[in-house]
Amino acid sequence: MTRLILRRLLLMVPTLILVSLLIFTLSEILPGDVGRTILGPYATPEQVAALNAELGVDEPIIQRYVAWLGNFVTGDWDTSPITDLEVRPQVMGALGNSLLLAGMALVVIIPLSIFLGVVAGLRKDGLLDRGITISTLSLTVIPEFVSGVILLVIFAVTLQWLPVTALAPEGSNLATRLYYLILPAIPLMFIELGYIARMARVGTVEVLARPYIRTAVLKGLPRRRVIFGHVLRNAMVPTVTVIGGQIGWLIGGLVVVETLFGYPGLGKLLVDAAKTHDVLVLEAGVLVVAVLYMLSNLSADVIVALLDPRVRQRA
Amino acid sequence: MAEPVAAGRTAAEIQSNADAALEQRRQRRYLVHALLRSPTFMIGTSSVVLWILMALFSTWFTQSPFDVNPMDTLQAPSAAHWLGTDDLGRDVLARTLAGARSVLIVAPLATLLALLMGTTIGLITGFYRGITDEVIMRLVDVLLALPVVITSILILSLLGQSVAIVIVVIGVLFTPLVSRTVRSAVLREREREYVMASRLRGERSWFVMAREILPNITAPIIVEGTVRLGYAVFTAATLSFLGFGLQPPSPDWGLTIASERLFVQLAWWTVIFPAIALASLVVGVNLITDGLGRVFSK
Amino acid sequence: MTDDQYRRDYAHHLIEQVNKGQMTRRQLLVRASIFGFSATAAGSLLAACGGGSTSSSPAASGSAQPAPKAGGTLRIGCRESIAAPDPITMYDQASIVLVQQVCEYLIWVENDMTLRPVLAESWSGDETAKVWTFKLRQGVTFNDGSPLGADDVVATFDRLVDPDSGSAALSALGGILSPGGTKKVDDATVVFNLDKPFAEFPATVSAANYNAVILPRNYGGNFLKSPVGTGPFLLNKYTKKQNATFTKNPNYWQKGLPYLDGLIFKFPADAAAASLAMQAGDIDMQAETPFQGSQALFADPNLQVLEVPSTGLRQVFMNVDKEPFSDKRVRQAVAYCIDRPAIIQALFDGRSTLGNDTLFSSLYPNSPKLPQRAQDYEKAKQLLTDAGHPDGVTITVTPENDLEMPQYAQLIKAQCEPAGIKVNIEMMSYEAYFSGDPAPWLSVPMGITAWSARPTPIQFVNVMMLSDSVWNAPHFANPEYDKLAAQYAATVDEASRMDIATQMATMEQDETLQVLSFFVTQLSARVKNLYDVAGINIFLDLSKAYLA
Repeated sequence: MTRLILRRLLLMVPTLILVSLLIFTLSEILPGDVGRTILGPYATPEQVAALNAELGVDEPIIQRYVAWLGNFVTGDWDTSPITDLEVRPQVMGALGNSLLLAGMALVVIIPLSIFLGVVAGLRKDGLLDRGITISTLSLTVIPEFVSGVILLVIFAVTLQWLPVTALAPEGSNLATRLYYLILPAIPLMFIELGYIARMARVGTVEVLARPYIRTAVLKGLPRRRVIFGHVLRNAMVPTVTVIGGQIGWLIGGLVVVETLFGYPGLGKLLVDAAKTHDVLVLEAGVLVVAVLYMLSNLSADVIVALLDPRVRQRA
Repeated sequence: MAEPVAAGRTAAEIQSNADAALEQRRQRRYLVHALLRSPTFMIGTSSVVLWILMALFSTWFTQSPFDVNPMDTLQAPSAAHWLGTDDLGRDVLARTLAGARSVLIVAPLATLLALLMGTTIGLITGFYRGITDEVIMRLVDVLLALPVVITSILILSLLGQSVAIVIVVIGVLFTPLVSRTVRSAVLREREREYVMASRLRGERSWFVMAREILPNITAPIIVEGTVRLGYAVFTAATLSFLGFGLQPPSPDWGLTIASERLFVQLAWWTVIFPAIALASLVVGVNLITDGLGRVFSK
Repeated sequence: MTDDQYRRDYAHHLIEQVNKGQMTRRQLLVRASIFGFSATAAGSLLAACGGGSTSSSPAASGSAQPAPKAGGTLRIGCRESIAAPDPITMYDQASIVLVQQVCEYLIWVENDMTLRPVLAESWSGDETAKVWTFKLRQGVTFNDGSPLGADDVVATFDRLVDPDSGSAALSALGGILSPGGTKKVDDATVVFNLDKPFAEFPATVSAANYNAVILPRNYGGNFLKSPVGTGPFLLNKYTKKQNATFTKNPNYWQKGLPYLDGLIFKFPADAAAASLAMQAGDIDMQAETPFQGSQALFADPNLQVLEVPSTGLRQVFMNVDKEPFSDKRVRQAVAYCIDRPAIIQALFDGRSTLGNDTLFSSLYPNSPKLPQRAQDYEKAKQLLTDAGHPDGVTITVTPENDLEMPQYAQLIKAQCEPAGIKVNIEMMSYEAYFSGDPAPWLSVPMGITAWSARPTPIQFVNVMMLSDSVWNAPHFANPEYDKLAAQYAATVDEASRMDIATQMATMEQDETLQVLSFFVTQLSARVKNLYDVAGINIFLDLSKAYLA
């Protein structure tokens, strides 16, 4: 088990290096230059060139990459020349905000989807199954910007039950902050709902079909024990795998929701950085996302291994 | 699924191949019938087919999706405009129906690209294993670690915003997942008898991959393809919503929702109908996936 | 001629213009204020005009307005800044209005384009219009305790016109004021020695030149670190992309002001978010309310929307160096495809002033009256044929993805089609439009750029239309026009100005370097109980504002 984890962690390193190289190359060759963005449209070309030279924009790309990589791993993430803010606190702060939002969405939706999926699987092909499958699938595919806007207008503007912005006033406690996040979290919940519920259902159906389950039921074991004992555990295997894989989509969803609600999370930060060519923020942010993604996949695999002894042995 | 068919050589094998081919045709007919009887599959297919027809022919019977009408902006649904007008006075019904066009070009082509590249990679890595497998799958992991939306935005900012580039970007970014699925399928198949038989016979690797294994993994590829298609529609819409991709005055749904959401309080119809349209298409694709999955798993 | 004699002559001249019907009373107030007459003096000029009642100051409050009340925190929504606010280099709305709370100008520009003395008490120019003397207000201190004096003003303007500063002010003052041209006479008097005569010079050191805030002589360069100014508020905290908070300056030179205890600036992500924030009561006012996306605000019973006709414009320029725009007949053809009233209706529900493809808007005093262009497909097609494009032509327009410009581009596309002009739209984000070398907004064949209002047309001409203009997007270079512009800038006599303006406007319209279909009426949504906010869009003076 530990060997599995260690091996995966080690493998993350070359992957991350490649990711960083890829992102660095993409960002550095984006059109539109840093000097111009800082000085604005009214500076002369000479002034822009001077600033660019000062910022070291003209040095060969390998040199810049190595310099940047060295700084990055030692924790020196530099200061963005565009916003005059230090990159690390900005990225980490944004990350914290996104984790709060995503966490809230996941904490609610994972148990809910699993519950719905298992129920659907237990009542396979019945009306309830069909109903749950269709409705969860339908909600899932509604793009976040659509559900977000509709919810916003209904609940924040017309009914005024929820606040219009996602950011609580400074210094608010956790409960207040979560209250402000209810509205933005719902579109995220919707998009995760369908796939998690479906995988839970699939897992449930698979397990129920297994001979030993039928034996257990025939032998007279109470259904509930059967369910909690075996079904859930095994339904979790594909479900957890899917959740791990869904993190990528969650991040995409965060981009849209954060843009829509103006919430200062990592998604919005990255989109803004892409638009203003704030390459330092872009590179740092994407690497953070990549690390998170790999860690979440790793965690998902570990949980699956814990749940399913066969997997453990194979590892 | 039935026993796999091997592309064999000896006369005896040819005879058994003929029998097997017959068996396969029977299997396929059964499959088709099963699909036709599956409500999810049929509903999904109807939805997608309907939108394909709309994309092709809607302008034959609707008003023009491009005629601006500065005096009649943001009008509620009425007899003149069944679904109302948008911020430039254009007919929402016409634009909603025509909006299918861009999605139905971008998403399937991107998916096709992903399937082509992903299947090739999956076949190679699954079959050869060893170093090739390790190296390529590492690269695939790298691509997977990149958040799709952010990477797309970067590339689109860099290379410009044509439809072709959007297709290529989505196709490339979806390739890893396809290759993973194909690789798993290949890994299962390569241990089967017919593959070993084929290799013992001395057949060349690409032959084994292309003519032996590939025909027998079409089912998971098709399912994966429809799954990817659903995601592709979603991604394309999200990209145009964020402002990367199509240009006005395209009636593309993502673009429309992005530009009309300013008016959602006064003119909900400008946003709701494209939204429902988009949802129905994606749901349709997903129902197809669902139906296929159920039928293939029996 | 003595200066006094000169002033008296000019005063008579203005009165004459009004009496002859060449100028409206309101326009007299504007000219008088630029020249340097105090408000009272201008009032008596008006009174000296024959017939009719004097025009009331637009700032006069109605009888229903409650008395000023101290206290309260005002929440303002505006678009966020791209770079950190820096008075010297700032060019976007958020940075400008933020800086304006802490710093002040010599002169403020009111919504009706009259100039109001702030840090300058009075000013006057000599008859050559090359030497301008400004008397500074006494008893003003910066918020770090140091008193305001001539040295600060000299340092400020030397800094602004220094070519190494990269300031937007260079565009307004380039060729007019050079480093060293600003001289201290005594602690309360500053003299500007201009490079060439410029009759409307005070407008160029007013708030209209938004970088021209007066900073202390020893300004270090990092505004956020030490936000020192003479303004009514102190910068408390600026959190990029989130908000900026201000508290009242207890030592503000206008005693008893400001009424408000503090300000919070919020940055809604876009027009929709801003509109929602206003309706939900999250913000009390918007610096600028774009019409598109804020229609719901007009119907909201708790809000009022201020409408100020202004000379802000949307420049639909055509680059004469790029095909097919090198032939002016093609450019004219495009102009003749445009149905201006329809566009104003669609984009602003009619709230706009009609434009005639010249920078000399009808809103300016003494604007030339040229025949109004209207949609004429016959003419357009004929022009195209004459230019060698009988079957039409394909062009690409690159609008800024901001405000109502995407819709404007689509309207242009639809309106050009019947004449055979096929328009492709390539929308560009705000950031991409202005970045790069050369930046798209100065180099694409056809683009749409938003410009904020200027109180005098020459301020547009100097930066946009001269051969050596920094922001000459259409790449117009006509020595004849340059000469006329120089003459116009130097002439004080209103009748001659009218003549020269007519020549310039005729040339502009004929060359059709840009389609100017309208001049934007600025909108600003506010809660009903907010009073006496001066300025709109990039002008925000909250010194006298209060919530009642």
